[in-house]
Amino acid sequence: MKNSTYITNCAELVDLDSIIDSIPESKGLLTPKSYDLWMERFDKDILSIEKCNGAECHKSVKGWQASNMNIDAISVRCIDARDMVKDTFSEILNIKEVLWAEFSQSEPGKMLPHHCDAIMDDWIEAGAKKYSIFASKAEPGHVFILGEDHYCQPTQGDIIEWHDMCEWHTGMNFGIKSKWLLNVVVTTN
Amino acid sequence: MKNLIDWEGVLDIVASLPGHDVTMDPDNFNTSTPGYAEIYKLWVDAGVDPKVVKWTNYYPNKDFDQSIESSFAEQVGVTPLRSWISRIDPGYSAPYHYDVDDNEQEYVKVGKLKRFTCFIHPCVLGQIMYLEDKYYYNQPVGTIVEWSAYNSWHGAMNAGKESYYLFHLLGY
Repeated sequence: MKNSTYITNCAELVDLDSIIDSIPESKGLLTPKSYDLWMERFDKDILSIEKCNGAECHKSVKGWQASNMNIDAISVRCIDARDMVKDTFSEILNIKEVLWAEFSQSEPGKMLPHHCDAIMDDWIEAGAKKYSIFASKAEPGHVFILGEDHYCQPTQGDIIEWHDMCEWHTGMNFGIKSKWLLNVVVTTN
Repeated sequence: MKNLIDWEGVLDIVASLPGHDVTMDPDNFNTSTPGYAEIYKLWVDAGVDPKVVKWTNYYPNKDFDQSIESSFAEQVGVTPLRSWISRIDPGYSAPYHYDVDDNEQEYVKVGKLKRFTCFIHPCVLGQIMYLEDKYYYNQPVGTIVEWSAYNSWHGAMNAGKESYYLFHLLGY
């Protein structure tokens, strides 16, 4: 792999299915349902943040719109998971502080095309690390692309470390089961 | 295998044509055929949003020259039964399914069916096909995949920024 490194598999230590099952369906934030709403959210929540790569993130949505990407397919539910990560992954990832942690749930047929996440300058200065944990069971049609690394039908519990927190990535689900991914940014001991 | 077909030229022609859309619209999706009904139910039960399912097919004689089918069939050593080019636009998918053909019972009588897929467009990040536990992406133009079984489960999605084209052939 070029843009990420496999760290370990946590499936025997963490009951990811139970954690997912415990998340209420009403919890979390759905991505906007139109390009106008995406831009609105960027103006309000991302571009106004200082010391952040908001402008780079903004290019993601502009790129989707420019290629006439079907907006109905662009959908992910994001659920804050900082407390759970602190409680459950501190030892596994040698965590000192959880800076950001989010579950993303992608329903069948949905995707989050090529984009980069909002990363704070402070996180980079603190030497933070970013990990992705494949939370749902391996299913046909579940794909995560990080830079040039393709994780197809990844094994539940696999943890990968990003080489660059600002790396562009893509989530895709053309299977028939929900895809769950846990992304975390942490400082380590 | 050497690329004997000018796929760029073929795509120049079909890209300007509307083709024939396949969607989850029940009026479009012939659910009276048992296989279609099974796939349709699978997708509905999985909660697939009908607005994200669409691909567009192009057929020989109607949309591209019949000689493309003949040349390809000769290249892979089969007698052709049917062929088509599929196009998936950015943000659409053909979720997990197997192909249903109204003439399948006629085809299986003539011989052992063989199925091929050829990647005919320069690779674009975010375009992926799943077939028989393998994922195909970044394939050079002209790459041919022979299916283990003509009716294998498969799927494809286009999260890339250009249309995703594949050529398919069923033969024996």
